[in-house]
Amino acid sequence: MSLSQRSSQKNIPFGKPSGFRILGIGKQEAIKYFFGGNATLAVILIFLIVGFLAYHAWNFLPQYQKSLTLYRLSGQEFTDYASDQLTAQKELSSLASQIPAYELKHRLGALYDLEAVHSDFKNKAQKELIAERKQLQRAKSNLTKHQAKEPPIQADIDAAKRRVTESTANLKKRAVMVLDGIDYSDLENKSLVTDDAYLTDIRASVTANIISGKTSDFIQAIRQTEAEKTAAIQALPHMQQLAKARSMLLAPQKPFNNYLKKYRLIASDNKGQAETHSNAAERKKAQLTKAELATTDQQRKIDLIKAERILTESPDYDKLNHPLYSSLDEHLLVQKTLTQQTKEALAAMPTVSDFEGGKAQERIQKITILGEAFFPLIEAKRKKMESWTHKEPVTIGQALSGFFMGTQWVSNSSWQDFYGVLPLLAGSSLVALVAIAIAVPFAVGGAIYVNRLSSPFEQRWIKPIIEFIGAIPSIVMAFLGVVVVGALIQEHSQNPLVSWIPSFPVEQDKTILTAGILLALMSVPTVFTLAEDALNNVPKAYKEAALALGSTHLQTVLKVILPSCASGIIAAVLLGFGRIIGETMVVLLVMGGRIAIPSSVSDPAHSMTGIMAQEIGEVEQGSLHWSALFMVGLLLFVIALTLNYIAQTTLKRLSKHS
Amino acid sequence: MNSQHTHSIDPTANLSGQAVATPEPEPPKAPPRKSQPPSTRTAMQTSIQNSPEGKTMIEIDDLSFSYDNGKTNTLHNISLDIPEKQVTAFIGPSGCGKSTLLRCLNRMNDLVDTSCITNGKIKIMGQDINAKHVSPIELRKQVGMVFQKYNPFPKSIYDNVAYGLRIQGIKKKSVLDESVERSLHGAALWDEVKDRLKDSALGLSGGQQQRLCIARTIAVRPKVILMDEPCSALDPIATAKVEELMLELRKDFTIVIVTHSMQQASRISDRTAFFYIGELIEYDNTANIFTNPSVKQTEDYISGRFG
Repeated sequence: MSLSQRSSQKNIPFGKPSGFRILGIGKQEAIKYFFGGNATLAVILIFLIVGFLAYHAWNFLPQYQKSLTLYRLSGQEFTDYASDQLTAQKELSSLASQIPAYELKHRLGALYDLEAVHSDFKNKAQKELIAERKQLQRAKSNLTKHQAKEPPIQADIDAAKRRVTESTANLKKRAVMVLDGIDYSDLENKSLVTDDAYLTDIRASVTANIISGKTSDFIQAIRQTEAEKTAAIQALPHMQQLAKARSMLLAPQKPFNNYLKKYRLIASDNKGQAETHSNAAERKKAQLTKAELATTDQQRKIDLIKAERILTESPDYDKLNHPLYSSLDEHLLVQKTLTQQTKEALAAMPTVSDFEGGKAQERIQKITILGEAFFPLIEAKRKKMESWTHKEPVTIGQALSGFFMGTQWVSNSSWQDFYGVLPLLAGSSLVALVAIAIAVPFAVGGAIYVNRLSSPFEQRWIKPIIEFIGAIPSIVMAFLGVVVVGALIQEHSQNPLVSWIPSFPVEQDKTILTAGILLALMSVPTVFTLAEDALNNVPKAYKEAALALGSTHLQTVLKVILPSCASGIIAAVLLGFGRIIGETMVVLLVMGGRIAIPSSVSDPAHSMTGIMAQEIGEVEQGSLHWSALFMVGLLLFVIALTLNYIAQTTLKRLSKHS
Repeated sequence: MNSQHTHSIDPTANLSGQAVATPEPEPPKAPPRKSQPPSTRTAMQTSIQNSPEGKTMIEIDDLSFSYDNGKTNTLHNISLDIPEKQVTAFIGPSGCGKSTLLRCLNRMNDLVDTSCITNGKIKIMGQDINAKHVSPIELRKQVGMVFQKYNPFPKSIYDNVAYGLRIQGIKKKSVLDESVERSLHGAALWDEVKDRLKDSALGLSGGQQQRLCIARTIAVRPKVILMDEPCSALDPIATAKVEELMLELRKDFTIVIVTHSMQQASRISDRTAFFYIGELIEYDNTANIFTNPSVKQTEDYISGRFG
């Protein structure tokens, strides 16, 4: 039947081609539907992803609003204003406490690091001398054994003694050899100021040390000199002045702290009651349901009594917060002491010119700057406390601005959780900017070279190698950052030759700069490939026309080719930026994970992607923290989408142009 | 057009100066053009203008050319002299080497790595253009080129015309303005675009774009303009305009044009060269070629029997 049908179809002029058919669908149509299905699925998936993010994030605002409402009702907000005042003052005193150490280090110079250098040297040498040291120990124990023998055999003791002398000499010889072999440059990095005169002494002392196993006189002498000099420096008038100022800063902290402790305790209590009430209705309902489902009458009775015990009426917040309102006078008192003493301390602070060390000077300057901002801040906070009322409701808008403008990301706190995205956003954007600033010259320069200036041989090699960087897994890159790049930057940024670079020297190994360099490396292939494509798409006619007008090769590239594919290159950079801002592993492992708005690229910071990866595994599903993380995800998605959209439109403009 | 006036402020005259001043030219050091005082250039220029009409501009002497390092020749032993301030047309069937020869004249073939001249010489204004000390950059400033497909840069009309001057380091706005206006006048485009000089050149019609390319070429005041089928992408009306323009330009420039259209060659050229498979078959006054060709092949081609 089917055979005859097929053959009959064949006989019809212009009939449909026979052959593969399922449910009346031919091969061509089947392929078409297959691809169409795939495309549709991709589109549906995108919408599902957006929907999924939004679904988990949408609960954030009401939840956060509720949380902030409790924060206000309980009076925690009130006490936090006072707490902010103290924090600002404590910053001043902590800066002042750092100064003496830095100044000492600077003034003591080589001496300050000498002991560390000594022990470093000793450790390195000892590692290589293990075998020799064992030999000596064995010889020594042998000698003791022979001496302890009853009766003592003089010949054996003599032999053992000889062996001890021999191995001591051996160890000494080896020690000198090893010390000669140690790389000095390593030590110079540790302490730029350690000079050769000291090093000779250290080497002699280390050799003596290794053999005797005791701290040598040399080190003891150094310790003594150091102690003497330290005392002398600390006795300097301005150092004493500083110490006095510092104690003036510290003195008023105690009464203020006592005040704070007392009222924070009250607020904490209030919060407990508020929280209990906030879910009382829910608990009561659950208990009643349980009672309904109870199998025995007795059980039901118990459940009903339990349900009755849950009080649903709101606590009397007026009464609860009353102590706070009436504490304003007490606060004024401690605040007065605080400001007065701080004012005096700032006036008593030694000036910048008194100090010699750069870091000490920096801190003095910072104290001056912060000191000026301190008094207005105290006044502002005081005003907020005076006008504070627990009755003012928290709006959704405040919750929203609390998320976008909040400078704190605090989770799992016993006090109050804050979910402000600003520090994460700042970290992510700053690292992306650093990365793109480093990557663009390399990637675009490389693309121009490979596409326009290189020989075919170079083209064959450079392109695949650069594109290969993209194949390196990001976790491997992160390891590279942890082990190599961070330490390298930290070490070499101390070099005075590069001190002109802003934010140098870098004091940590895990910073925005480290992560930025690695991300730059990772984005180079993306930007390079796209920029190269853009250059490739420039019509050959432009090059010919430019050359025929008498341009040199370089003029052709810079004045005709580059401008005509500028939008393509901009799109490449934007897509590279998108690639960077979505990267997780490197920023999580290499950026230091400090949640605060960074003040320079040499600070550690946290990122949006990093915080999500780090915290999502430990969060209760559906909680405020959970939805906060999804809000961050949504924000990240929107940023990536916007970047992509801008890149697409610039690309479209490019194609319209040519 | 104000041709006599324009010649006197020619910014580029190095090659001609060399050739006219010394028959045995020294290696030019290719000094930057902007540094040359205009007065010395005017002197050189006058000497050319005083030369008798019909002076030879380009001498091609026994030229053989290969695209594959000399394995096979694309052009075979071509010799021809192209006179100054006339239109010379190269005709012939596709693949006969006429475009290749044209691109030899401003060394555009240098862009092909494996190309080389296997025999013979090309002299422009007496200077062997393939001599070691001749810079192709300097040569191309004297020998401009208009391409088959109009290719203005994706810049404004003004920037397109000013490009050639700008890369020579001329930055003064008054000089550029004047040169742009003169060149657009020269290319018969001024009236059409004077109100939108800052608009993108890609918004012009095809014929306008090709005339813009011509304006861009004449802005650097070359001695020779090479045209590689300049009308093949244009409609008849635009073609007529460009042809009219060429007759106008002949007063100031030596024009070499490659064309597939026999009618075009007969309409605009003074002399015509017919090529066939890399060889020059016949070269004569246009009138002679079209009315009384001396070689049978030429006659066959012109009368449409092949090609």
